[in-house]
Amino acid sequence: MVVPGSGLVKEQAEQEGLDRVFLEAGFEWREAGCSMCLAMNADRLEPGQRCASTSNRNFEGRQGRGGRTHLMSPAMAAAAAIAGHLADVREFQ
Amino acid sequence: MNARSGKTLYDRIWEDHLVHEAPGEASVIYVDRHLVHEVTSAQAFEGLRESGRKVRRPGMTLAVADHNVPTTDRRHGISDPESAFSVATLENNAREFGIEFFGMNDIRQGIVHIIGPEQGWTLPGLIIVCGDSHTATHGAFGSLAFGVGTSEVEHVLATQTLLTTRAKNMRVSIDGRLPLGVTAKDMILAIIAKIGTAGGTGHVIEYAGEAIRALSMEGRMTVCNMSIEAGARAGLIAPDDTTFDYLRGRPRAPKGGAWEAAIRYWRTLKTDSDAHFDTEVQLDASGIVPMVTWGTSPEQALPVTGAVPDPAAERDTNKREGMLRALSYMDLRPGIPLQQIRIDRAFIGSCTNGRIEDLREAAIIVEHEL
Repeated sequence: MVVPGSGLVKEQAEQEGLDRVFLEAGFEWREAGCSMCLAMNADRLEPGQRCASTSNRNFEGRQGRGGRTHLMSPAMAAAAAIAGHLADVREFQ
Repeated sequence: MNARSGKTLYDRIWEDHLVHEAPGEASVIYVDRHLVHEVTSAQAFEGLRESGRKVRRPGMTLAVADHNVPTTDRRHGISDPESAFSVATLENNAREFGIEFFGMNDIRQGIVHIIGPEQGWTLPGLIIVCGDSHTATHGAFGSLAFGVGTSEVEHVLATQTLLTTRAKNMRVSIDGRLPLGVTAKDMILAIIAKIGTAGGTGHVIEYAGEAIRALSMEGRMTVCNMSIEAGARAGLIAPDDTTFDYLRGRPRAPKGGAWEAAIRYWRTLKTDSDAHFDTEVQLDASGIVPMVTWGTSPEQALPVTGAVPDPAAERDTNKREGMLRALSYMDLRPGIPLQQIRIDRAFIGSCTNGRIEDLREAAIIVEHEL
């Protein structure tokens, strides 16, 4: 899933057509907020799920109880999402 | 500290904001801007109400809901009762105390550390606080920005000052150029992997060097954002033309003559060449590769070309036990190439990487594969 950091970031991204790119590839395109960074809203990992995440913390349960976090850059998370496993973004360029 | 040595950027901002200091006591510093969100503010406002106090400078305080808001259709409000209550409480408190509030359906709403810079509310040389550890993000503009606890949120609301102690100075210098495909996120993960999550304890980190100067504001914010994961109180980058170009014309940035005057002041915000740093760290940007974390601490990060490490090779007992626990929680075995780790979800966003440039970087990779 892709979660813009603000309503204005979302608007800018949509003007550039980035939302279409993500949606066509099967990503969800969301409204702005902290989202799955911290499991304090509806967006969270299920127990045992493993996530390629552009957030900042990976302690136990940060993204949801039992969730497993791998921190990386946005390009690396995109590459992992496409590959289905952690991947080297340099092989995608 | 050598009394005759020059000042660091941190020293300069600290001294410009010092209201009172005395030996053996916490210092009183003036706070320019205060960002407020729903999770750490409710008790602070309640405290003000109980003691009959007002907000000292409501115009220097900005409120937004970010932690508890849904990211799906918001037209029918928030279905989770606790989240709905916390967001409504923030809105009511903002109204009662005369603070500007960006509501959930306002286009300016977003993560508190993204909207401050975006609105030009975050400016060089300021002290900015928020009841949130990733307040360090704003340090990318050469402002001293750090997270505070709920009782301190109340103190700042009531007095526009904060009681705190002076930090030590640390400089992380990154020279050379980042290779293709390597970003600010890889840079900060590489820094944390090198110095550890306690590496910056008690310090404010100034990031310097050619590779930092070459970063966009978005990249600089990513680096400063995770200063906290390096153990530091805050991260700072001296403002330059990249900073000014980003801020020019933003809704709350100074305009006209005030803008020109601000730029003249902002250009003085840098570390003297003879300034003393308590700790110095150097990295070569050209040696940084795309990084991923494999464990449950941000310092458990490796180049993506690596393999899950073997705790048996770690001599430090505490670290080894931490690794064993992390491997168990992460359900990983030593020696597996990191690129064989399958994922169920991907999350692109957050105050670390939820800005337009981050989305562009991800979209380029996605588009290439469509």
